[in-house]
Amino acid sequence: MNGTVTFSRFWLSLWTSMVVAFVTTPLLFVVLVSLTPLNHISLPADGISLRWYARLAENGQLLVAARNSLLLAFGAAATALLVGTAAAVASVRWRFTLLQPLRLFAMSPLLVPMVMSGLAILVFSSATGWQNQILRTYLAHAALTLPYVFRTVTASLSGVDTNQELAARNLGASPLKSFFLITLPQLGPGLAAGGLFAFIVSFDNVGMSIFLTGAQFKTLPVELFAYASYSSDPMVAAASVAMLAVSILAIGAVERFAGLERLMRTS
Amino acid sequence: MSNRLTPYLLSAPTLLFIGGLFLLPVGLLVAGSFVTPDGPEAGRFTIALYRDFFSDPYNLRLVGRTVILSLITTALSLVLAFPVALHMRQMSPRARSVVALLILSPLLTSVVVRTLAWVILLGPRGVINNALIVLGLHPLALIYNDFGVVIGLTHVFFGYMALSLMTSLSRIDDNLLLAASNLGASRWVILREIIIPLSRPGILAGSTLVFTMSASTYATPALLGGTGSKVMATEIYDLAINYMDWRQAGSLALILFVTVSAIAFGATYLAERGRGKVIFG
Amino acid sequence: MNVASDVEKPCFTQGAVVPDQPPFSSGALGTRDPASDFLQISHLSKSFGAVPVIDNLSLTVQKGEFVSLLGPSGCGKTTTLRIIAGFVAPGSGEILLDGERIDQVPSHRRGAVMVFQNYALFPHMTVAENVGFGLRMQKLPKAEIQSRVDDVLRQVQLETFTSRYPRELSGGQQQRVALARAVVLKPKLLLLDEPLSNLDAKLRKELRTEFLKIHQLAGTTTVFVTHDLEEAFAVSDRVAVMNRGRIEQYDTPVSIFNRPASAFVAEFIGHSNVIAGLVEKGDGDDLVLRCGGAVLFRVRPDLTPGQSVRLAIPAHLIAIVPEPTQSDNCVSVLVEASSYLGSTVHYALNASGLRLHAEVPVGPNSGLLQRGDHAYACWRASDFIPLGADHA
Repeated sequence: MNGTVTFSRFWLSLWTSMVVAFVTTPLLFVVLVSLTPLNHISLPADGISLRWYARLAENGQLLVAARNSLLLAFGAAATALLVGTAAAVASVRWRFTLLQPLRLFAMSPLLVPMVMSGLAILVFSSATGWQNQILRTYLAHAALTLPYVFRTVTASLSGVDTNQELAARNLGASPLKSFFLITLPQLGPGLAAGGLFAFIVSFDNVGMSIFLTGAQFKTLPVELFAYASYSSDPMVAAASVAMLAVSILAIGAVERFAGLERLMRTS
Repeated sequence: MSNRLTPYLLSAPTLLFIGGLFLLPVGLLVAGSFVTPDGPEAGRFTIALYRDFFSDPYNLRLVGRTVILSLITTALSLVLAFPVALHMRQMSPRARSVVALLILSPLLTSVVVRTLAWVILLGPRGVINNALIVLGLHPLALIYNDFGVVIGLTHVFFGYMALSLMTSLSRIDDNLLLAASNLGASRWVILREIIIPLSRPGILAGSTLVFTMSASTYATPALLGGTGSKVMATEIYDLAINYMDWRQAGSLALILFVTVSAIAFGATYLAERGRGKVIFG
Repeated sequence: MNVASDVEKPCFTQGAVVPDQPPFSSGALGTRDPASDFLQISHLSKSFGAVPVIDNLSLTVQKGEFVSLLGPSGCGKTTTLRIIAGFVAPGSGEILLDGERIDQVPSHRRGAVMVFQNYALFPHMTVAENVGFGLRMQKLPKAEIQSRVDDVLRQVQLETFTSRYPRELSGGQQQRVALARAVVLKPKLLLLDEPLSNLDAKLRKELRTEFLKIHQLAGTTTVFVTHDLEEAFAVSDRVAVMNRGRIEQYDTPVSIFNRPASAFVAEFIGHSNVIAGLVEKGDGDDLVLRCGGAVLFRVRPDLTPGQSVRLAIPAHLIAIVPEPTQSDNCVSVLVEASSYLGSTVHYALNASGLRLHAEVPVGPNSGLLQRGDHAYACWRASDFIPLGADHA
């Protein structure tokens, strides 16, 4: 009894350990399987081999897809940051007639199932004869990631005291200047977090991309998905590990900039 | 408040972009499913597609399976996550951060990677079955069926439930628990009477999230369900890409959206309505 | 000798050696009968990590008594209360309630019910459900719970609020619900943890009368924690003034005010003028205080010559006059600051290095002195209050 009511540490610890194991060990197994020297899915009992990573490096298709995904993710995130930040500023600093529609529009990509929106954009792009796979995937990703930027920047912006900008203007700075010199720097964490989220969501995306990509433009998760659909050799594991590595880097960056838990609570 | 026009200028890109390139296509897709495509009645409003859909038992089973699998996933996530969230209230800040990191990080990895992990584990020549064979035991059918799909979905979306519960439970004031204890309540009573009711917002939010996401997701049921367990999302893809029947795919998408939203809203409404009833009355 | 004009050095010396004096006990409740000691805390100590928060504290409370723990923040009063309630385990020491040891008993079976500073009302339960919660835990029949809840809500004038939720109530109303929730259980011991500190001044006065009323009706033994002097004095039978984990003085309000046991207590209750020195025989039968070489003040005849003492002179007993009077003590002072407080004026004065505070009533004819003015501060020898030793 020390300041709070607690429940059985023993049973809770047991449960938590089991749950954490459930969540993390499958990924550990993926790493292990990727290191197997054998030809089929197995654990590296007789020693580790990097042959599947070598195979991965030789797989032109996957490499191209990886490059595509990275570029796409950067592009989508950048776009989402620009458009989303503008929207965030509008929604926090002003009360105007389009405020509610703006909020609704900005969050709507999260409300619609990806199979629905992916299909819709596919149909739309075909119907309008405008079938550039790269472009439509890029636009879809930008739309999909915008809500994340909107959310984090809105949260960040709400914490900045408007009086500071007023003080700057009072001291002679134009509204635009005072925004860029005073407010924007303080949005750093919100922007970084939003950008990282956007990057990750775009890089990992399957549900929409699977409708919009094709022979001319492939993304890594979709390629991986396709590959895994008809063959199950350990290269699937190696490719997964590669994707995990990118995600871990991104997660590390998110954690350092904003703290993972706190950030995801802005949902 | 410099310029009356500024907010409109700032909102325009979003409104036009999302409106034109996202909402418009979706609207057209939905509309298209209500319009007769060809024949003498071309262009007329019709619900033929939907009528046909609901009169086919295969389709009804499809919707049923989608909903039931998602409900099971939601329930499983809740049961797994709640004790963990409760435990996290009692942990030291450092332990809490570590556990949060471990549980939430998978949400930032690709759905494909997480699903493939289960393919590797549960597959007919996967890690588990290999081990069983080596031990001389009979291999199990853990994949390409409802079981595999539920496991995969639970694993993929668990983090959202955990996050929601973590947030909700951490907000409960310690003093409330102390007061209840001081007034004679045992720990189980406190759990039942104070903690669970006060974590209701988190339970609802997490459940809604997990339910809608698991009902709408494609990659996991596609890889883990195979032909033994098809859900609406995989059917939509199939119709659209393999059969090129966009109209029908669109109608299924709308049915999916409406069904899932209705269930989510309905459950939330019912749960909210149950408040305010006298406990000892 | 009426005027002390030259003071060689300030006479406000710390650390004067004084033999320990026992806390003054004036038998407030008539004769104290040890058999009616209801709550006994013996040698309680508690540290959080390396920081000692409670230091060998002992206290007894009579059955039916209303006792306050008074002190500045950090003095350990809330921790003491939480230990009594069973939320925090004591480091060492014993607590007996009604003859039984309770320090090892879990909180929900102690019978020491607490009213929290932030009320801790269950937000998802109505007022009636909140108040009835403890009775439910005792598994009483529904009808009885209902009637007892109604009774107690009537006592706190909230009988029409039974189906409201805490968020619909004002701060004062929430406070009364919290009180009702505790009192309805007719507990052996009622613990109040700064229950009024979140309320405005007017409400605080109203509600503390409420507490008194309830106490008089039910006769529950009560321990009340506060940092507000006036509050503690207004409602308590006895007050324990605490400092740094120890009790400096435990006595009735009147006794504490008139005979503070230490410089800390004097300071805390506002007697801010403390002068230290050596008692000597003066002319004739007078006793005087020698301080820093000079003989300064006439002091009370009941002191012992040769003793080093610390004396306090309450600010409201110092008169400020333009010319020296026939008073026992008059010193020339320079006004450093004056604050007009409405019915009184507070002066910060400098008597050649000795700093004095005086609080003087304002009348239609008395002018306000300003910074830089000269005047005389006068008081009687018998107004000096001897202080006991400090613990520190």
